[in-house]
Amino acid sequence: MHIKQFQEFAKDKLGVFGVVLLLLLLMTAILAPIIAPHDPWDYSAQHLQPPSKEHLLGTNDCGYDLFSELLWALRTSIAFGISVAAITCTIGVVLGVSAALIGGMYDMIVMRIADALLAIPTIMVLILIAAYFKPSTTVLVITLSLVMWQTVARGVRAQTLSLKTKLHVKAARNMGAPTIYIMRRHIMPELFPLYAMGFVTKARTAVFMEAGLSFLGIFDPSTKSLGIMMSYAMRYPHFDIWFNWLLPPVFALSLLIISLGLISYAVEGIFDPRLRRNNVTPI
Amino acid sequence: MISVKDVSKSYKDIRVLSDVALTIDEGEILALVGETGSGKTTLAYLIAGTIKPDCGEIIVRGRMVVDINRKEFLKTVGIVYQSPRDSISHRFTVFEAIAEPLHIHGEFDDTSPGRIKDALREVQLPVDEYFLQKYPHELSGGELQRVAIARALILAPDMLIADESTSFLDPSVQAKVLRLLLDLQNERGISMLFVTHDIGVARKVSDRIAVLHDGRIVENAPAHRVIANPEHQYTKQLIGVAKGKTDVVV
Repeated sequence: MHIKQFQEFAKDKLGVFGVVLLLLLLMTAILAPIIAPHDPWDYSAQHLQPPSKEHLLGTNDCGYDLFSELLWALRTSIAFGISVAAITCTIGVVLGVSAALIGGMYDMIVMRIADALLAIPTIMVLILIAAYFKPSTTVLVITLSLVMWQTVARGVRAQTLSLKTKLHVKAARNMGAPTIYIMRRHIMPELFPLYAMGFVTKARTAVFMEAGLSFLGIFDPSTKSLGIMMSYAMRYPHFDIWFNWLLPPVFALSLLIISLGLISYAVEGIFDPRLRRNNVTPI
Repeated sequence: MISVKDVSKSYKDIRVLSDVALTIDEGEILALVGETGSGKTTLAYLIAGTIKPDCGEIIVRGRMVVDINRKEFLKTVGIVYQSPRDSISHRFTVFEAIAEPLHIHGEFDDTSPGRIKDALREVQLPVDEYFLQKYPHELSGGELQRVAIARALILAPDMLIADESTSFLDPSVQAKVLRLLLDLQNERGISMLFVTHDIGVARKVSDRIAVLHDGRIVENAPAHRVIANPEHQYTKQLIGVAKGKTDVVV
């Protein structure tokens, strides 16, 4: 059955709300250098100021402008999430499709590596690496991507194995189509739902992990991060700073994860027949 | 045109075809009749060059199929499948579906839209932009099978294989598609291998009928003779079954 994905998505009000929210956050992150009133690394302001016209959320213990810091931290979280999701999905799709099409020993090796990675708790690996090696953000992005591709690869492989047997794929092969053509015209477009779902899910996980590592104090300390902001704010429980220092990063992180969650839920609802709303009974 | 000599084919341990021999002449319509699992589709694909026999020879115009460049050979054979909904990607428009063989064989150029419209006219379908941009789910079964026929004929093949091409259609549409296939074969003078489980339909469309039973050709003769004087018990059974139902009027 042909599914008009975008029309289906447009009917999902929560999904649309998620997209709007994500776009707003994305625009804020992209425009951070323009809309941030102060340099987020400028610590010349007086420390622990309450919110004012000059400093919308006040300043922190070092004199940084909290509003500017928040905008840049949001930028870091989104960039981290998108980068990890993009690399993870690329690795997962390449390995999944090639494993299904090549098969044999190659397929077995790729899938056993995927099984092994599934058994390893990703967050523990990341905490150990971050704590011992103090890697840069780029290295952390790559490390996280290298241990998160397995679920995408497994899904893509299963779908490709099923697609290989479809009559339209066989028909193209019977016309003399080379494998590259079949991949480009028949397999890859059919896998789009899996990329979309994988991308959103992995981005959500990555954003959460980045915030978690920052909060634990093992993320690159030179980077502005929502987790680092929360972590520092928690050090001053005796000051009345929770509403202007702790709450904004918690709120921003929650909005980001909620928006990705709503999109993920909507995309899953469209492409997974078991979850599809207004289900049409196949004839 | 095509000569199949002592061809056998197995899938793992299951023998599908055993020492099959038949010929298809230029411009001839040969109906390959048999029940599901008799090996008729496998034989059709062997003749189409899409799979290789375990033993035996398939000779096309004096050349062994294995000696002919595979891609070049596949260009000379058009296949129309049983289910057009499955054989055409649901992501392709009518235009893209018919253009697919041209893309695969690197023949898509400025003249292609014209060729595609000509092919659509041949199968009696509209050629306006609105229709060209329709997706399979927007077409009826009959329209979609006509698109599949246009796709099979776009490269002007020497032979058309119709693999149960009408069995998914309701009787009135089936009759129209059969008539269309016959007209096209007649106009182009191409050979046709008509694969069907219905000997009644085979009698109406073919010059000759080959009956396949358990992977062996049990009868191979002009259509009228097979129907009038069937020699094999299995052929008699097939005719009996066909007589028990309403024949398709072509």
